[in-house]
Amino acid sequence: MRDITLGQYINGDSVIHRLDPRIRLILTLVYIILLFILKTIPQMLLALALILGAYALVRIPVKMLLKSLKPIIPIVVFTSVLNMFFVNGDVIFSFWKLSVTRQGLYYAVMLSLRVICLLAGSSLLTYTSTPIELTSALELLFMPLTKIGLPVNDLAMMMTIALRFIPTLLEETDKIMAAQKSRGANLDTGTFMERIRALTPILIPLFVSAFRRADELALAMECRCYNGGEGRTRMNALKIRRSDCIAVVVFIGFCSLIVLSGRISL
Amino acid sequence: MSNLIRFDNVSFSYGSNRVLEGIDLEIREGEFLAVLGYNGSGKSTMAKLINGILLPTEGKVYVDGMDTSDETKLADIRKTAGMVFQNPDNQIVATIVEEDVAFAPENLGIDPAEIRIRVDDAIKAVGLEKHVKDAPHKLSGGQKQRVAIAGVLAMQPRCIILDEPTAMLDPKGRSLVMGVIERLNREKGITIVLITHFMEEAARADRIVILSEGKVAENGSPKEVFSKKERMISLGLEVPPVTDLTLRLIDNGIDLRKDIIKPEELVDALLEIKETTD
Repeated sequence: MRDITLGQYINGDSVIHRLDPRIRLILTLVYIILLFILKTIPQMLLALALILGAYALVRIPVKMLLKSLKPIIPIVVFTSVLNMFFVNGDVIFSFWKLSVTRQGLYYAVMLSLRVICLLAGSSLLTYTSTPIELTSALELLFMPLTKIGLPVNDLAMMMTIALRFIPTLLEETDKIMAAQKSRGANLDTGTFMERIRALTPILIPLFVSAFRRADELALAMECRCYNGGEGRTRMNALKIRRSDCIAVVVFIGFCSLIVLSGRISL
Repeated sequence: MSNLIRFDNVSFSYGSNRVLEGIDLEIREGEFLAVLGYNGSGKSTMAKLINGILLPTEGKVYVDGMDTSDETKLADIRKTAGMVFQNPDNQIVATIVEEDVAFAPENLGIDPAEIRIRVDDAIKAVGLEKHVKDAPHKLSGGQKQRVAIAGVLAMQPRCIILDEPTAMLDPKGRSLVMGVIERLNREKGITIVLITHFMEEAARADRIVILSEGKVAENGSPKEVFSKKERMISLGLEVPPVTDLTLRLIDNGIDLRKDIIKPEELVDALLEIKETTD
């Protein structure tokens, strides 16, 4: 458990890696919106080509992408099959009480493509951004909301600390589990309910220790003059550069072309 | 040298439990002070009183002339007297070493370019240049503790208070951390207040203060303090192993000084004896 990677960041130096994380985040959102605007399969295929192009830029092997798609295949298949059978329209073939319609088939393909693109798009964001980058991007993007009283700085700090302590607490869980096992705790066998109950002696020490850590951390932060976000500066302040603007223009251009291509074929 | 920290008849109680009683103590600028005492003698409480984490129930604590109970001065006091705790895991805030070192100067609102310089300096001072971009959880205990020291160093404090910084480290980590502490004191002239359980660490200080039942029981140079073995034992402590060894050698008729507290001193003394007998 010690080697767990936070998120799925892949170290690299591609054009996309070098973008401001805010831009990466916004472009991902734009892409997701695009996926929900598109109505036809050819357009969807273009959208898929767009994201695959981005993967090529980052030089992430397709194998990796396929691996991240794996867990959602059952869901895609399941919903596609349901759609195939339950959308009314021109029947292509039928057996028993079920019939497959042309519209159903179309819809199923659309849906599968959309889900695949969604996952590929959002994965690209996490492949190319460290959790820290994402946190500071979110912090800056939500900064205007401090005016209506949302404690954006504090929330970002909480997120950073959560990320920082995930590996520490995982390690601790390992230790507690080993300690309880060495005293005869049975964690791996028994009915579902028994196993859930067996978690109590792990969770309670874990919580106690987490609170103790939180206490000490708060003290250490106070000693280092932390008093909320006010007047804080950042060492690695994010800056929008020209390359970021170019990326936005190019990406939005592609998206518009894809949307427009639907109009032409109509 | 002037006084950087002054305890003026300080008492402190947790509820009805009196932890410190009538402490009068002055710590000079540039001094390396070790604080000893058995568990519960008030060592950690004393440390927390210095930078205003705790406020005295009676009396006053002054840091560079600033009263720690003056809230408007709190940031300045904490900037002057940084603090490092026992468990390195619980004082590292960020997920990358350099980000963590930058935490304090960021809080102080320092200009990004200046932060960069301070962070690089601090990381160099603790010898972690190779781990600038690493995740803290991938470092060893000794390395993490040095990150914590760098994090305090980036505030450019005049004094660093270390509360049992080596208690959770292996021997190698301990000697590296002690090396860093001594170097900061000697080369950068930073005042060090080291709270410790290890007598051999205390032997490296300029002065030792021993707390017992909330009072200053001993206050003197390591040689003065450690030459009184019976007194040390009555205070629930011991003398450094090398002093103990020296005292046994003396008991067995070898002509040595009683105030040997560092291994190198014993080696020199024994070599001297060897030369005269040769």
